Amino acid sequence: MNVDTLLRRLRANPSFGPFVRHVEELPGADGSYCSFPDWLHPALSRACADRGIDRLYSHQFDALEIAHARRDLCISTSTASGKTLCYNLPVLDRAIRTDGAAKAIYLFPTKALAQDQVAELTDLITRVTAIEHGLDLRCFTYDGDTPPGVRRKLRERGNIVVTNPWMLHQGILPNHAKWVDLFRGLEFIVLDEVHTLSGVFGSHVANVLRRLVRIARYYGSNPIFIASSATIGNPREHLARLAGRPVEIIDRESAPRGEKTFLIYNPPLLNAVAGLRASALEEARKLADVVTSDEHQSIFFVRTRPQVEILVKYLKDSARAHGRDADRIRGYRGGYLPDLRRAIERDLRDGTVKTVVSTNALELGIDVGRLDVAVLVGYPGTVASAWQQAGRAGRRSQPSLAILIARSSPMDQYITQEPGYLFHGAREHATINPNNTIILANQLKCAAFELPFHRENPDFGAPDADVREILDYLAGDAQLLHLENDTYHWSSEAYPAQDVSLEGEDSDDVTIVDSETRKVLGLLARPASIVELYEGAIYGHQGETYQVERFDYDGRRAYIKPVVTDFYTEAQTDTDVRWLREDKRSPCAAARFEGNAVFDIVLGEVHVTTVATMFKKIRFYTRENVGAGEIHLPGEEMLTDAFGLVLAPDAAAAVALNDANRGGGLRGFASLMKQLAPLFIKCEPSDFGHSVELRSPHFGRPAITIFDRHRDGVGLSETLYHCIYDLLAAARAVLNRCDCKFGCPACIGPADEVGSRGKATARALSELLLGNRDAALAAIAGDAPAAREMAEY
Amino acid sequence: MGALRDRLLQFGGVVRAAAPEAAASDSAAIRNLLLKRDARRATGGRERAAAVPQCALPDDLMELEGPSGAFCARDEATAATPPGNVDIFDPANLVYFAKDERLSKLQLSSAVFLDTETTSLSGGAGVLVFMIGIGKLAGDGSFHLRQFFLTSPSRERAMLAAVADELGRHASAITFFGKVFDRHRLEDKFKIHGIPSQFPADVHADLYHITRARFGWKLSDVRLRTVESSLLNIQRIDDLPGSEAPRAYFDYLAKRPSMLARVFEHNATDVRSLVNLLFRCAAPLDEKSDPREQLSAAKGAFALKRRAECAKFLKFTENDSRIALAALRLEADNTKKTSGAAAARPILYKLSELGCCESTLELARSLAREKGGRGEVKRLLELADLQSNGVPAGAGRDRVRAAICALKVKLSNAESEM
Repeated sequence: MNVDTLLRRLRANPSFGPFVRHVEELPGADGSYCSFPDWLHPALSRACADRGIDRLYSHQFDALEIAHARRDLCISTSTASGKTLCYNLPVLDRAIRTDGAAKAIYLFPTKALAQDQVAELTDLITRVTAIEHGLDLRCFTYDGDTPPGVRRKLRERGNIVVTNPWMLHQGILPNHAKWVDLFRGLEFIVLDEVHTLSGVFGSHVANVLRRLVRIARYYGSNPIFIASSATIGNPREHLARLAGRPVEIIDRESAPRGEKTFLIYNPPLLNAVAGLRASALEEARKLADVVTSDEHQSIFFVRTRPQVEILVKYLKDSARAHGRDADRIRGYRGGYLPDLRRAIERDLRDGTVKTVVSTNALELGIDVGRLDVAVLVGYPGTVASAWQQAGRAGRRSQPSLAILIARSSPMDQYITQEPGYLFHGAREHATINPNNTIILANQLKCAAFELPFHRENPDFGAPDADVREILDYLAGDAQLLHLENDTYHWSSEAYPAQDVSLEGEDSDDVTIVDSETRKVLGLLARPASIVELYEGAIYGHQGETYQVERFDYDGRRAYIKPVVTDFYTEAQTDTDVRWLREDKRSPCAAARFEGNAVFDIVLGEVHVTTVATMFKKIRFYTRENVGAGEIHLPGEEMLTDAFGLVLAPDAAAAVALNDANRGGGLRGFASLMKQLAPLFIKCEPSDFGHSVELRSPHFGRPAITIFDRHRDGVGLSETLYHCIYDLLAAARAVLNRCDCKFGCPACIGPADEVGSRGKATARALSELLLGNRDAALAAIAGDAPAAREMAEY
Repeated sequence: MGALRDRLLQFGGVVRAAAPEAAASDSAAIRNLLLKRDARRATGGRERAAAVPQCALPDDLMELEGPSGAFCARDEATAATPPGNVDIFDPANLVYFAKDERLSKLQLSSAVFLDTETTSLSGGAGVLVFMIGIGKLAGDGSFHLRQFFLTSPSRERAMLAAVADELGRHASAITFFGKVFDRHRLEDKFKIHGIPSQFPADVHADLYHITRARFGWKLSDVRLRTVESSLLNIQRIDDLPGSEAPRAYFDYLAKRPSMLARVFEHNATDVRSLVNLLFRCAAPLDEKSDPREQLSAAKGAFALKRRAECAKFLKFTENDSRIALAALRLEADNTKKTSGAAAARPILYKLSELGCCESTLELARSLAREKGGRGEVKRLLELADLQSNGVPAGAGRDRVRAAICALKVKLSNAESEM
């Protein structure tokens, strides 16, 4: 079945056609080509020709020239534009010309990508050595799966070491003496998918790279960076922070591509007053009957791991009902064991699997071949992700189809209202802060273990004064370093990399065990475990449902057993936020009320406790609530950065915040701000937490607190502090455009949560905060009749 | 509160004054804690323990000039005669227990006895090898020990260069667990400092493995202290456990009172023990030696393909019921290699009579291969089936039973073809 037929069928279908909100036809393009550069070793161009590549895209040519001139670069082009050749060719060229003396480290954000890459590299190397006899080049993956028995051989013989940031951090760098040959000859550091290196993780990785460069220099080498990235808004700035120096960016597309039709589908409104739309997951199930078949391949991207399991179950049920082979439908997500994931990838490549439901785990460049249809069940949170996911569909020069099913959330609804944001707007920024004190301190511990630091000239890439201050602290209070002759030496029995997690989380996972077979089914990070593995929770795995029988929290093991159930579970949490310190505070300049600033914005540090309190049992398909239970697990605590919006008392009085039923408006407005933040910062709404107090004990006034949901913060709150006016404007736009009367999931949340006066209060607030006093007062004045209507409804 | 406090402790080890558990006071406690943290940052760290004037270094520590600059060491010579004749020391038996032919080249005159003290057992670039004890045995039986000592981490290169230089003058090394530990710690450090390693790795007697092979049967474990008390009749009194050496060294660096002197003693004792242990491990084997040592030597000889020696050692194992099965198994294997399957058969029959299922099966296989008496093969298979009940349940038993089944099927197929 071809895509045109599919499209026609879809649009003619009365259940779907009318709800297609936007159709973006993305034209195909011819490629622009160059021949191989003259300097490229002839064995390489012949090996490429063997594989059917007899010329380069012009952006590949440009990349090769820059790398050949030994300058840092980043290729930031779309999926499947031949990014890997941009680093494989310069790396192999040098390796051939130096008879293996020039080495490279490849860093991939996931093990799966690394293994995929080694397969491709090995193929290229085999072809080259068939042409250039006597050449002995080797590449291998070095990760947690590498058997200890062969590690030594690999260390001594590898020209290209393919690994991941975790292994570099905990295995290679602290043991650099065992890798002397690699470091002496290191000419290239290849970083793949650098847009994933954001937030806490990216901030840590930037420091791991500082450590890598430091060790390379110690052994006398001076490697260049070759990076690849999906399209982001600030590649130049991001790479400069990550690599610690300016990097040239190649973002001109010159690969050919087939036409793509991109549909935005907004599920029907089920209840106009409440603003409730049909569930995106449910719509995906119905849509699957139209867009999947055994003749072409489709991929469904959902937002969470439990959703993978729910949708796979739906699709398999439906396939069985239609007499189709349910085994051709698979789920794919983190938490599956590696062998299973490899098998699914293989089956996708060879076409055995026709439909796959995945989290963003398949968004990155794992080679599963190109598929025909991509369905994004919910906006993935960033433009970059949306394009990566949509890019999974589209075989070269053949038309493909991508469908975004909007959820009720403000972000999704904003996209349906403003599709231009997705297709023509600026891309999000990747945010990292390698100099975050706690991250830097932890990384300096690891670095000091690897090589001593000189006090006068620490030369780590972070400001010397900060580095000195931290090193002094580590030598003083912490007693981890010994300062002598102006040099800090590691002086502790500890192996610091073991205790420093790149995710900034405690690195302990919960093991999930089938209590009958005693087989390990998967792993889950501890902070997530309190909302997914409490006793009684339904846990999905490959579309099968299990129930948690026992959760040994201290022992970090959850025992589950297969059950047949018609419901799944969802945990509810309580979050308690306490302000500890204010670092910056400024009164808002633009919006004034009775001569005073309407609000202050504050940046500081908070203590957050999250406790899972209870769970709901929700029936599959109907989503009706069929029961509940209590959760008894320890809370998760953290210190983190926060952004505060503190209302002036008279401004609060103007919108009558203290009246009955108004507090919901403030809560809803805070939730809307949090939901919309990713429009301006590369993050997920879930990267933020929020809390609302009508009278904050710390500020003594009504306050909205939005905090980094990462231990110690990663600078998201600070970015928020600087883009607050854009965010307020977007919130007002959503509130004004939303068709609901009393609040709905697309704006401030459903009416039964925000109360009858919630939406009017939120609208008044949005006007007030942007300085429109009259509009604010009008919104408040106009809400009495509306509240009556709500009561009748 | 627990997780937060752990985290700060992990970060700096500074939060001794724990916040009270009561939820109501959390906020105040946390604020306090942070203020303390920041205050400390501002003042550059808390007060250290008062420096003690006591000098932890031994009086006889010397400053010497090495190939890459000055380093420190202390020397010690003992006239005590080792527990054997240095002139006629014969490494032959070490070869069997270590399963390493190269040890036949071990000459005491060119050997070093080596033991190191490090700041961690975990390995990695940040671990300091702060003491290296190197002992040598002179022809007159006197023993000379030099303990290289890292007086400051910044002098690491000079000390290591001197150690490498010293090692380079010798052809063989004797250590305890050094194949896995000491040698790699040193070589990693050499690499970091670009010093070519001269560790005499070719002829390296790791007494841990040798002791385990020769005397493992009578030791509760193979730690050096256990070995000393069980084999050498040495009881260490007031010895500083090796695990406390890192703390002692860090205390010394931080100018706190330290047990460094006892680390020197500990290291010296370790190196001296190597001499005694070496002689014990290399002691001749004769008819008076325990059959279990003979069996272990026989295993080594078999692994080295020294068939005649293997047979010789096995002779001494006869009539010892404790090891009869293992000795017979080895004898069967050795005989098979020297004289062929047929010659090994009587031994396998003996084993079979003793109830060894695997041997019965092997007999059946070898007879079947030679198209021997079908009746006998069948009898043996039935016997093996019975004996398999004695094999511990699990993969081993499953494998044996599968093999028995396979052979039975093969047999019956062959019969039906006839």
